[in-house]
Amino acid sequence: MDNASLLRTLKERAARNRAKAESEQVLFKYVVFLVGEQSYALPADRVHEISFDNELYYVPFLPSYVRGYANRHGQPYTVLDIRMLFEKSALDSSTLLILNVANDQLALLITDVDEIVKLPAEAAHPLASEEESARYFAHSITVKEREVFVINVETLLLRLERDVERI
Amino acid sequence: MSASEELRVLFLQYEGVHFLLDRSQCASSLFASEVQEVGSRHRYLRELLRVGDERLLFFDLQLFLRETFHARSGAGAQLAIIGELAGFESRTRELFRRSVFPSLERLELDTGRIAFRIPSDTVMRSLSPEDLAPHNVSIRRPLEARGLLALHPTERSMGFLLDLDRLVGSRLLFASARRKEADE
Repeated sequence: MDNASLLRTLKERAARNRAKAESEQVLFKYVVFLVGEQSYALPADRVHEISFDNELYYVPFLPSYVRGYANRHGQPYTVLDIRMLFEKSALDSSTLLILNVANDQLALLITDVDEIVKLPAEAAHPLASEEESARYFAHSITVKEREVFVINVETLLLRLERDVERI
Repeated sequence: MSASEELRVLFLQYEGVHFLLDRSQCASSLFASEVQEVGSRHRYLRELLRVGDERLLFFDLQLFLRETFHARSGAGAQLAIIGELAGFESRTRELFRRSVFPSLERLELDTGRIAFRIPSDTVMRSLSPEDLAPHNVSIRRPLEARGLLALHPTERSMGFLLDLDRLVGSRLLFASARRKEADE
């Protein structure tokens, strides 16, 4: 084998290794959903179930973004309306994202599920915004050239806890 | 299941929502025929109920539930239930003894009992504790404090088990009429 052939072989092997490494990189799964016209996302492990055609039962004495209870197979889920929280405008919908939350039963009121995507870690971008609403987002992701904010469930729960404490 | 494990409740059905009142908090019930309106600054307390020779404070629970829970009902509210204050917590008894009754002394009220207006189609039911669910952890405290003790989810409705003692003790039934009208 001459030197030129050797170099070509080595380059081909390196290219194969790169392709293999890329195919094996860790991908993060997100549920992208619509709230009105706005897209948001949640890490897939925070979503237990997507549920359609739910009746919402109003519960008094709670913050306005708590839209009430939904009855899922005899289990009450507290329904949070993030459009009410972020934009002070109630969302008209009956679709829920049932959340995976320890020791509680919570759901987000959404318009619809857009898609489920798998993205590499590099697709997550830190948020630079200092706006009040930015603290409800963990980071953003790029999906089909759109920037989609990923909801930080913990911050949402802290807000609920703080607001309920004041009642 | 033994009878002692059953919960006897009054079942108040509205559209899409219902309310359960613990039977043990209701000493008796009667048709609310002898009612006297009184001038009042309270939204849900504008009437007295005559029972025999006594006059009882008569809270409009029907109006409170309709307005607070956005509950709709086609039924009238010609029924009254009577609660014995002796069976209520000391905090509630003290509220009436120190604050409510002294301010209404001129009305010569029965100070041992109070009455609540409820829908005419109220029925009695027995429930198993398994039929009830606690409120979710994150919102439980303010609901329980206001007398919304537990939930009764059914296929077509969501039920709230009400504790009349805590409800009255929370002063929600003493809401000002003026403030309520301003809210509307």
